[in-house]
Amino acid sequence: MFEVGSFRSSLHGGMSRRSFLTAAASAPLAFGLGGRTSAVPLETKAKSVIVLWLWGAPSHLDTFDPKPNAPSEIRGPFGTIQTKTTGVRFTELFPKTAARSDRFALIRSMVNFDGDHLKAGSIGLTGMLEGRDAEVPNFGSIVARHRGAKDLPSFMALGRGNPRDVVGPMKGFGGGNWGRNYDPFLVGCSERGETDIPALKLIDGLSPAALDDRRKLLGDLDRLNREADKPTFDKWDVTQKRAYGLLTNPDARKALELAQEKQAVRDAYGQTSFGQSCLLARRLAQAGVPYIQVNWSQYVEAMTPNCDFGWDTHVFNFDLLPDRHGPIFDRVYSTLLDDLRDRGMLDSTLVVAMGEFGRTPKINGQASRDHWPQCYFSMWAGCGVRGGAMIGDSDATGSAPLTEPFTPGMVGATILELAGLDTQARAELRVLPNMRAIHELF
Amino acid sequence: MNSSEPVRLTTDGTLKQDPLFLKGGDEIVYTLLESPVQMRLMRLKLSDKTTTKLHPDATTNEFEVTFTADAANYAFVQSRGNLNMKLVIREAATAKDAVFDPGGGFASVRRPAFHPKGERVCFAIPATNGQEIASIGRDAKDRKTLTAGGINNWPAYSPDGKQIAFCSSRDGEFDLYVMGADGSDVKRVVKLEGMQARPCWSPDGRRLAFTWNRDGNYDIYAVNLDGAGLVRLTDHAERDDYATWHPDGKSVVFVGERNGKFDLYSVALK
Repeated sequence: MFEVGSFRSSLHGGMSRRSFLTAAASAPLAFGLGGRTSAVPLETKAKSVIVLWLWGAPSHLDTFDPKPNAPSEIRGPFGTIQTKTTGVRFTELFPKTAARSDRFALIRSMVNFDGDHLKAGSIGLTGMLEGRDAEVPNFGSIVARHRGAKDLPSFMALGRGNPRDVVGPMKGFGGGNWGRNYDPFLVGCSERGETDIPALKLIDGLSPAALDDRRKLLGDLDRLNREADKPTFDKWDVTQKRAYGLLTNPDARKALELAQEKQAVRDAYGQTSFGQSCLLARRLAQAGVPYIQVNWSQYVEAMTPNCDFGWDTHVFNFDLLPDRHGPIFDRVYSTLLDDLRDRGMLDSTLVVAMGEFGRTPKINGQASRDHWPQCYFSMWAGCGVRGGAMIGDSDATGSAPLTEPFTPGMVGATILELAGLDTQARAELRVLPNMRAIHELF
Repeated sequence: MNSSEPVRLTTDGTLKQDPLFLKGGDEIVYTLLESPVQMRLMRLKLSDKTTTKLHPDATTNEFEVTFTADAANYAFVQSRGNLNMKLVIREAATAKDAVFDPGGGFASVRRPAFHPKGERVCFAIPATNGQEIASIGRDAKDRKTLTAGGINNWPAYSPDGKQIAFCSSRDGEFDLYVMGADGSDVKRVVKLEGMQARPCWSPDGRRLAFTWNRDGNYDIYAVNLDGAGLVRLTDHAERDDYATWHPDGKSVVFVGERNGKFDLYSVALK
């Protein structure tokens, strides 16, 4: 346990925060943090990247890296099932994902460098250790800067708000020291598929609710066009201007309208905010948005007043996962893979699902699991990723990688190379210039 | 299949859980995910399908409500802090509460079940050795541990209050068990492949309906206490969960996922 502000955060048993951070600081060479660059950059295949950000940190042992032969205090109570990949098992909570394991690659040897959500989240989404304490750009901000702005924002985040916990916001959510121009354009999506643009709330006279009423929206925009003289427009900040610009473009606006989808497609994703957000992500990818981050939740906390059921399951992990998190993820992830494949989009769309770390192999005193940055998983699909590939492995208890660890920096280098930022482009932007991509995925 | 085609009781499709009959079967109380950050206890009047909030003024998550047979007292879980959930035991007429507090920090109680006569409330609570089923008096005092070892969850008192059905991982994975109300005489009801959860008793106390993750999908099944007479009550490609028996014993209500939407359904038993 250690204290972060007023928030008691559980790390892993037997290791103090100081000793862990010391270990992490010496880790770059051992973990390839400053590792070799790619001899041959990955081919630019990703027109769009969709990151499913499983905020709060899913337990790797209770999801996609089960240890059925481990002692009960590690194994947990869930059974395991065979996937479509020979010899690979998931827990019984993910049957649909298991049936599609031939369509994605699974990395079971991820490592992060901090046991605190906000810091590990920043590292996880920027690939940079500095992200722990400084404001550095999110992978999406980097892609957005490289690709430039078009009708739709180049980096969109779907969810109730930028990731945070009850203590405060995560630094690595956006542009960081590049400025607000590179922050994600945030769009909320309810379980019924109603979209909400927080930036519009700041524009007098334009109601976000109008988004779902095409006629009213057009009326509001006409009125704003008449009324929004230059001085008024100049007062708006960059986010508001982007929101206004987006809504005055019919094609861009159409991408946000889930009502345009067939009901069967909307149903397949399920009536949850994560499900409808993933459908919206697919629409945005179809419309050419280069980088879309779908936030499972705004808050990490699994069950806390005013929080939205993140993956941070320090208590009742073995109730929350089969009751809520597992079934929702299983349905939505499998539907997204099906949908992208059926539309022929998987060749040009990269889908990465990951959290900021894993959870303690040994069940804690609350019959649950705490934070475990030493080993976790990520899932990759599309853009030539080898379906069914198992990249890396963890040890018999899921405590540590057995094979070369893969870091958030490598995740970033892989995403960025697929999105068109080779080593030189990254060097020019001073982001992850020497980091190697995960070639094993291809 | 030992049931008829399910009849849909709600139509909003919003995430639901924990239905429970009240007033001899005229009403159902359940938990609704009212907003992304709030679970609310709801009451459904079956005669006209109207829904009302059980606690209109609640501002935090409340869920997993359980009533005594006469509905004079009820209990529910209330989210009061960061990963901290307390058990509220309420006298219906006076709204007078007794609160069981599992402690500060990350600490919680879940899945309460009221003794039909209101003598005690049992629930699942983390313990040094896994997760136990424990019980307390109506005054939220006199905690007694009823199980030892494994992850134990979803306790349910039998209609006569003499037994508790629950699920436990003591033998590996979540299986269905029955024990005496004092924790004695634990017996595994049946050994099945795949997680079993949320048992509920038939009104005559002879059978248990429960959720079974058979072949990767949650459906509702029923079984005799001796493990015989296993039958399937629902059969749908999507999730069926949270069974509760109608007081007349002729039907079971559950939360069914249909086309990605979550509603209450009723199946008549054959």
